[in-house]
Amino acid sequence: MGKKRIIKKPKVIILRACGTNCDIETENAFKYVGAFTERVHINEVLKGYKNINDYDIITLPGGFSFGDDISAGKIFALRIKSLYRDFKKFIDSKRPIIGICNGFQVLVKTGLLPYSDFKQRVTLFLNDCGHFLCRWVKVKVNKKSPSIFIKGLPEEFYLPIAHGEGKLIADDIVSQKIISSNLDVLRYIDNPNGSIYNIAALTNEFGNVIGIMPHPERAFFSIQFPWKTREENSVGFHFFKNAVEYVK
Amino acid sequence: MSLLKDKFLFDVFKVNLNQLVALNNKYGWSLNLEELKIIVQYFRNISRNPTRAEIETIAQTWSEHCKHKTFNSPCVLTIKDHRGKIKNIYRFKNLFKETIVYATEKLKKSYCLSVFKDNAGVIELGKESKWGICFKVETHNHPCAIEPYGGTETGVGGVVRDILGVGLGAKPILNTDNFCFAFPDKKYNVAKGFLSPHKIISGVVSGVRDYGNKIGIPTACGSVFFDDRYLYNPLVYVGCVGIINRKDVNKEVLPGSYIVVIGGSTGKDGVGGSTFSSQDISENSTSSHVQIGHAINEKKVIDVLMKAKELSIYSALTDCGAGGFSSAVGELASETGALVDLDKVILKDRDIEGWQVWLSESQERMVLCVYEDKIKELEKLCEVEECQMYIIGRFTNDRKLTVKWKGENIVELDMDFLHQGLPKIERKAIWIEPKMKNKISKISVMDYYDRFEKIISDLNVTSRRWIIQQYDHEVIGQTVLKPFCGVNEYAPSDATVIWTGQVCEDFSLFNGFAVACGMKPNMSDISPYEMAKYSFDEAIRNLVCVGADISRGAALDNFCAANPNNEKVMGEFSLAAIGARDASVDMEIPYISGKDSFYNQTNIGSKIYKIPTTLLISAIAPVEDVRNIITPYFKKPFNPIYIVGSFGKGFGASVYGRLFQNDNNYISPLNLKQNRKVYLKLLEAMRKGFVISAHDVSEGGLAACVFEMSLCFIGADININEIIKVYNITELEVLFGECGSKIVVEIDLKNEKEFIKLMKNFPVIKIGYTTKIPSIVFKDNGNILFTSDVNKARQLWERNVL
Amino acid sequence: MIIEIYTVDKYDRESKNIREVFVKNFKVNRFNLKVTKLYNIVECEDITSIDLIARDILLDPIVEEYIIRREKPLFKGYKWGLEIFLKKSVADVVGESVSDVINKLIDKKFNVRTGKCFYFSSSRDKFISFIREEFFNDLIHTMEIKELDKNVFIKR
Repeated sequence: MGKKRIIKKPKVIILRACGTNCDIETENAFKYVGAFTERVHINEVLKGYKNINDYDIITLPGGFSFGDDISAGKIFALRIKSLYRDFKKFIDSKRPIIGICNGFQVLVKTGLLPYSDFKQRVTLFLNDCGHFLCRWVKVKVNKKSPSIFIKGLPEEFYLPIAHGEGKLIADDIVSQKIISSNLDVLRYIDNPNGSIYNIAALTNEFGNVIGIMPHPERAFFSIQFPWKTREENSVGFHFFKNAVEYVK
Repeated sequence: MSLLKDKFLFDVFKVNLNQLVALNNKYGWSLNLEELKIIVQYFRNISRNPTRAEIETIAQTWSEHCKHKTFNSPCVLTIKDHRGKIKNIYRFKNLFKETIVYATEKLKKSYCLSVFKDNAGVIELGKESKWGICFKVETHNHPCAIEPYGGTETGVGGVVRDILGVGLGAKPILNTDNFCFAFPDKKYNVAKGFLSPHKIISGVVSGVRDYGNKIGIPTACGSVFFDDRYLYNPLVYVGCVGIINRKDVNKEVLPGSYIVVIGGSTGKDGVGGSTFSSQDISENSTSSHVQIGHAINEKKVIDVLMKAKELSIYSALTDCGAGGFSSAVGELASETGALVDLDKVILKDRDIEGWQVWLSESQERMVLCVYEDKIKELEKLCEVEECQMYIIGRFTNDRKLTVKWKGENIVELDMDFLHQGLPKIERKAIWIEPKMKNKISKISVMDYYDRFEKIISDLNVTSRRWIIQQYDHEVIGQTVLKPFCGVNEYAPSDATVIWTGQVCEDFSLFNGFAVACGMKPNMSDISPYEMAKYSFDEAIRNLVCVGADISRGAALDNFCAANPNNEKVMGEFSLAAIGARDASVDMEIPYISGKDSFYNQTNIGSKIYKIPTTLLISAIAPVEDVRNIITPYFKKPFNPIYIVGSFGKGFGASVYGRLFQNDNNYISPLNLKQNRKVYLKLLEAMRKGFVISAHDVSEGGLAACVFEMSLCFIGADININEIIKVYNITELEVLFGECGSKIVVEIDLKNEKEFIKLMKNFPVIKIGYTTKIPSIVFKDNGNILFTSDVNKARQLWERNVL
Repeated sequence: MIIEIYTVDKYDRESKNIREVFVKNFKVNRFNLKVTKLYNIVECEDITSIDLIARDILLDPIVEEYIIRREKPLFKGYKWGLEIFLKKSVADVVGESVSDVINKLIDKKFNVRTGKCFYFSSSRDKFISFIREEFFNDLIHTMEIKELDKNVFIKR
């Protein structure tokens, strides 16, 4: 990575807006793996009180930002339009960004995933079943993807989903490119929402930006699983640990 | 004090009773004759006429919804046997105080930190914990009958605000929901202007989903009960559990502080809501009583409050619910007094009168008592969070409620009159005991399997996955025991267990709490007294199944009944209240909050559609270590299966009874003192690690219970002969009966001997073994009664209702 | 003016799902249905603003297209358009949200009312009673069934 200094405690900014719900447990996950965290409202960034480039990791947690009005993540995406330059600087400096569920929807609608040119190329649309779904699903990792977040993950594992608009859609050209560049990080083994190629998580080409529909912060401790499991199997842990280790 | 120049509705010196009654009906105040007389007397004494705003304020404050007049009244209950001969007469000076409150005060549990005074009761989260848990359940029945989606959303919003208003603000961490509907698959001839059960169910389920998911509180722990009598009167109970630091349990209103509203704007929404719920539904119930929920506004309020609490911005707060500002400010200022200027309110309707602003039930608003020097900080916080705030006045120390609008006083009332001047009417109650018949028609054993299939396909037994999978039960990341658990999340849980590590930010502690519920409304027309006990027992049994510490538990009582002016309804209700009292005392689990909702009946033409008295008992108890909870599905083959607890005769109020033997109304009475001992002993066995899984027997009986335990691919081989011998009951009653209290447990084979030793002298019977194949077999010694392939049965049980 | 947003047929599951339920419950043989979202930007006559609002704020460019129209529905290939809106006296939470976004983005204040339009061509009475049961409550909604011109065309 070529960093000159060693960062002992990476600084994580957890961007929230009205309706963001999963910020506390996402913050706790980062705290647990040794990061310094701050939950910041986007208004504080938009008003200039805080700057995203002062941080080492950006997190966009899950929730119903702006009530999912218009469509999930759309209003949040519109709000952060004016921060394009800041986001471009952050992404180009190869620092990690993780968007979980609603966060993934925001990244996609802002045009930061899978390509960071602020043009929307894919979307996350209504589940095929037509309603919100909350359950655990099995996913498998694409070991060939460049994502920095997947180190140490077992080949197949379970994560919980909770979303109404998780169906990834892209036209044939974009889809082919995603597959050939291995930008599909995770795929559902039993597709719950109809996503193309069963994609559950996307990365950018460098691998520092990830959008993931399932919730790793809800599969972080073994007690969060619907059946008894050993601590080592708490896969959510790896996503956060990898981000922090990468920055160090 | 400026002269009141508001338009007067009547001349207090000239008005007569008939005119008053006519005005009462015209404006929907729901005041009775005695109350109207007292109001007239009060204003005659101060020699002036009341304003519209004043009468509306009094009507709201004295309404059923706000003061629980019926439950707090004196009552004479006459009990007759089925021949009409008087068996007993009970006289109560105050029914509520002598049943529910009596139970809690008698038990005097030190772990109850606050009961019956704040918005919700608070108990300790485990021994000497620095945290307290509060729990409140509300009903929102009338609005849901006419606009189920909006009515439910606002119901959820309301109960969450109740929790936000506990002490200095509790953090809501769990939502519960219990529904009573008519059957969606039956062809009722629904009267014009009323909604079909399908429409109500779909609106209610969506309402809980959309509002609950958006405000980021996990929704788990609930139930649905189907009965024809809820056709025009669905019941929607919504609950919320919050966590609060012990030191924040008390609030203090300081004269001189600002009265600040945060949240939504104020409009003409539902003006008159709490008086509306104090009346029967008729064909003329109108749309001005419909309120629309705005979940994100509520989330903004939660975010602001949690931050403002950290910054010590306020010293007291309460929620704005029924009665709007009149109730919220009225309650907060009851010991001090308040001066309010309604011109400062942010309005959403410009065409609105002063009294409407004062009584508006616009949603998502909280009223705070803010320190003078903290206003600027609050303004900055609200700006960042995009949450509205408006300062509407100050708390005073003159013990008067003064409200201004456009420069004039529209309310000038003494706090004492407003809160204490309430007359009580003595209620007459009658209960005639029906004759109980334990008729059991013998059938061929060949038909047992068919009956089993019909029972597990019955809507009162089937899986609730069609509802639950739409609710986010994982947000906040603390839900350790979810509504479904086990492999593929196939097995239904008895209780919800929440760990508190995320909100307390302490990952080294594994304590938490469990929440469960119980209700048996179809027992009310047979024995309301036993109905209350069965409901209570079911809730506690469910907590025991997961290993929660019921010796530090608490309960909530939520009654729904029809029109209390009817002696029989009042009889059913008061007997249920007595049953509720005895249940609490016998199980040594106090009530910490509750609510009652009357007038759940509909008059169409000359016909009256009434609900049976429906008591929901919600129970909560601390869990010392969430890693050690017990789950309901069989884990290993060749483990012994035992049944703990007692069987009772009868098919009264059971699914089997309704489907196949509806002339059987026999209910075995419960001995809750005995049950308590059994449960505590079973908990001891769980702590010792003997118990691998546990599930309680409820709707559908033993057969349904064992079936649900085998959903995760470990089956069972059950022999019921011993049960028949010990209890002297029929095969059918053992398999499908719902009387008595039973828990089925899987014991670790290597601990079986110790388990038997520990449970000596307790009602425990061995009934079989777990098996390797996913099928269940029921035998009576050598005779096989029926077998079922679990996967096949699951297809029937996982019915999708919507 | 009204911005009508619809999902392109390839990705339109919603219309398919609703159609399937109707056909099953009412035992109808052939039935075509298209469901669209309506955003009524009240008292806005400026086409440039409307176009901006549609493209930049409301549209999902991957799966949706839009039409700008007034009261008259313009979809080709259907006989009727059944429009449902909230009554004027009822708060439109999504509409308020959209109004807020428009205000923040283009600094203009408009009242926005949201609705749905169901396009169909047969089984009129059955479909209307289906909609009344599933999507309509006369306490808070208005419903209008408009006949489409035979020669109308759709253009984004």
